[in-house]
Amino acid sequence: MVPHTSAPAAAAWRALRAPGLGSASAPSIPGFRLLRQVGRGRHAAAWLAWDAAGEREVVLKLQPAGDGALMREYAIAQRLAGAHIVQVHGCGESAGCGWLAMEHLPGGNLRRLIGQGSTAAEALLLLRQAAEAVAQLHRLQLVHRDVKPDNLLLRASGELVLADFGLVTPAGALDARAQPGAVVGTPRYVAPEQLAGAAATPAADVYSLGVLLHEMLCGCPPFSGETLMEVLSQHLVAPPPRLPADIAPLQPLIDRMLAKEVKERLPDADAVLGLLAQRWLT
Amino acid sequence: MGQLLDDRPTAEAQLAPAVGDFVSSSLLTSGADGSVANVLSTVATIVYARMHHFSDICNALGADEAASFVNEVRRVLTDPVLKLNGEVATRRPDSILAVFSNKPEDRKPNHAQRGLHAAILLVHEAVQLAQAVAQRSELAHLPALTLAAGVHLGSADLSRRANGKVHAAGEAVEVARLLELTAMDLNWSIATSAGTRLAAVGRAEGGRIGSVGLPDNSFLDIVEVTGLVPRRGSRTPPQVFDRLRDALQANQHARRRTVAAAPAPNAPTSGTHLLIEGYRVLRRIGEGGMASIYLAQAAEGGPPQVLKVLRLDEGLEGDALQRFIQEYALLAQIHHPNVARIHRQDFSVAHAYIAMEFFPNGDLRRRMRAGPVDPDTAISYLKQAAAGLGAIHQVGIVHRDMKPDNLMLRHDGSLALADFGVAKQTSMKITETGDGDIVGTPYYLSPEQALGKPVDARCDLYSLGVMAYELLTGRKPYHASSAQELLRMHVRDPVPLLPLDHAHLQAVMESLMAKDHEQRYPSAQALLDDLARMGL
Repeated sequence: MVPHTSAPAAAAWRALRAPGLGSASAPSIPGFRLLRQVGRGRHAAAWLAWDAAGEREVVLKLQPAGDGALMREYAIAQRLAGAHIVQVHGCGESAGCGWLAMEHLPGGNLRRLIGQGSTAAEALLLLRQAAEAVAQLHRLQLVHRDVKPDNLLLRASGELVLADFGLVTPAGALDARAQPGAVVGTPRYVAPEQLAGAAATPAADVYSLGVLLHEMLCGCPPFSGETLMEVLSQHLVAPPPRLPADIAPLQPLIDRMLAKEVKERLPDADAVLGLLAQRWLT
Repeated sequence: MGQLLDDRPTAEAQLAPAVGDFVSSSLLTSGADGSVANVLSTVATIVYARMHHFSDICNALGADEAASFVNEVRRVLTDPVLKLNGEVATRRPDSILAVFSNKPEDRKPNHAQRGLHAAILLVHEAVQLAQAVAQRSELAHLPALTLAAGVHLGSADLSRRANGKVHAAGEAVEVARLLELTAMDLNWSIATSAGTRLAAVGRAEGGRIGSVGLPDNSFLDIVEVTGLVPRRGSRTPPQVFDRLRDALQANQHARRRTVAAAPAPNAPTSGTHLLIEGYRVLRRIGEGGMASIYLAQAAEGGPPQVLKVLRLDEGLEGDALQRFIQEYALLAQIHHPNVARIHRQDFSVAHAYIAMEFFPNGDLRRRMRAGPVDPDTAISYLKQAAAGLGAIHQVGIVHRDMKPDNLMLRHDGSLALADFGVAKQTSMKITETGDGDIVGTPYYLSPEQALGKPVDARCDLYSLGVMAYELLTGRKPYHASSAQELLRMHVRDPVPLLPLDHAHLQAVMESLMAKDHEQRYPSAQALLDDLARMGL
């Protein structure tokens, strides 16, 4: 249907159809047969693809090549390689397009489970799996910076898997984008000190896990508002909301994960796991 | 068919040029598919035309009849192109891509005229076929056969094969295809670019106008083609032109009768491209999250307007779209001198948009940066902002983001409130914003907004109070080294004292900026009444 275009602007013109439903033209990646687009982000697209060599379905994350971001993400996932980390199969570049092949997780993401509502016990078990994945990063002195339901995917077995390492940075590193007032990450899950432009620490991931826990327990994030400024302001100054009476025993856990001050918060995911094991999941 | 062809100049009456006739402006080698072919980059007019509901009819016919129907469609799509010396580049059962070009030695290129002429004939032929189809009782229940065409003059890469076929690619081809979708979306018979119509020097009658967004974020002005204009001295009877005009009309009307038929499988999904009927987009003036902002000229004239365009495909949060529509419907009813006028609210295929008053003089923030505002003017601005707030509060809208940047200045110095609550919200998709976006500083945020407590119209009065302080003193009431500290000041620090020369307004400040909204003025009108009592 689409004629080949030899003009230099070909890529831009082809992108014209890319957002169209079902009409996206599949880029060609040697070794893979692209089946259908399964996701689209600001910079990247995700395709379900057939990996000819591995004889399996994979998800290909595609984004413009050049900055090595996908290579970096691949290397990080390789180093982690644990039960709750998404499996990566390879990465490369082809005709200006960077690709990363990873495990296809047909179970969707955690947001789907949040929509269905889960009991407190289920929520804690899910939190433990998420914290185990994040703890792997923390043990390597890395910070994920974008822990949210959309990045926690479900294997067919129901196992929770952490994906998307695009924002991972070494703990304590200052990001050029992390200036006061700039949001790095997702506003609903962002820790107050991240908003203030502080260096990334594992405690920021603990905060995001706390938001996640609140969402799993109550079905809604702890802070919401009509405007971005309202949401972010609450992260900065509003106390964590009170849990309903039936799950009030979990309030200390929520409070220690959503503490505004880093020094009052559980320092990393291992501390979350420790407290869970000690008090709630003995 | 023959009599519909206008008297053509003899230069055009030659046969389609043979291979090698075309001298290239630049010769490129290697096609996109890797095979080596001579590719000629040239300027040409591309026509892309497609029959809609073609497959419905095929499926309803028996095998033999379907075959003759397919042949007939093929003839309908091909004849007009060949009659006007066009070349068939890509032909599918229901569509045709045709190239109209000139030899470089031709002194007067006329491919735009020929391309538009062919498109008009295509519609005429299609209407005749559709009438024949509609007369058959077993096909009467089917959606009407219609045709949409896009015509664009631009640069094209042509490669001619030894078998006489031409392959066309490049910008003009992409735009022609986009214009076909556009014609379908807008229920026009033929959509062409304004430039192409211009190049056809008066040969095509123009109807409605619009703008369509191209992938490089530029805009193309488009025109509906409504008829063929006779050449000077033409001997063709005027009835011929009437029949063509009628055909273009009939084709459109037939489509309108076809009520939301399910799209044929494999049909190209029509646009997620930006398409605004009735406006010529002048330039993009802003971008925020999910909304894009353009300056545009309405077809009916008048000063330029601002178009706020919301993409519908980006998964608006919850009921955001519904609220966007409802709130602007309310705002459009407000005729208040201190509220920006909403001229129009409408949908295109993939977008919702509003057309709003444009303020070339900028906002109050710009005015405040330019130098101190004298006290009388400051009070006048405060009153105007309060009046504007009162008007939107009355229809139940809370602004939630009141600040000098959202108060626009008119030529006469009056102020109008703009950038209303939901507009703001929808332009900042809360879950997806991020990755280095700068949010700004919460100088004007009310304590209840900072704490996530229930919010009503009185939060706007708090923000108005902050602005009033700034107008009167030239500085903001609270300053801090971090957003967190600033928010804490909003929540617990007392309202700072105004300088002595404004001391008489301290009580007004306290009633605007009270921490507890129960202690504030109950409404914007209460503030205005208070100021009136003070003789201000």
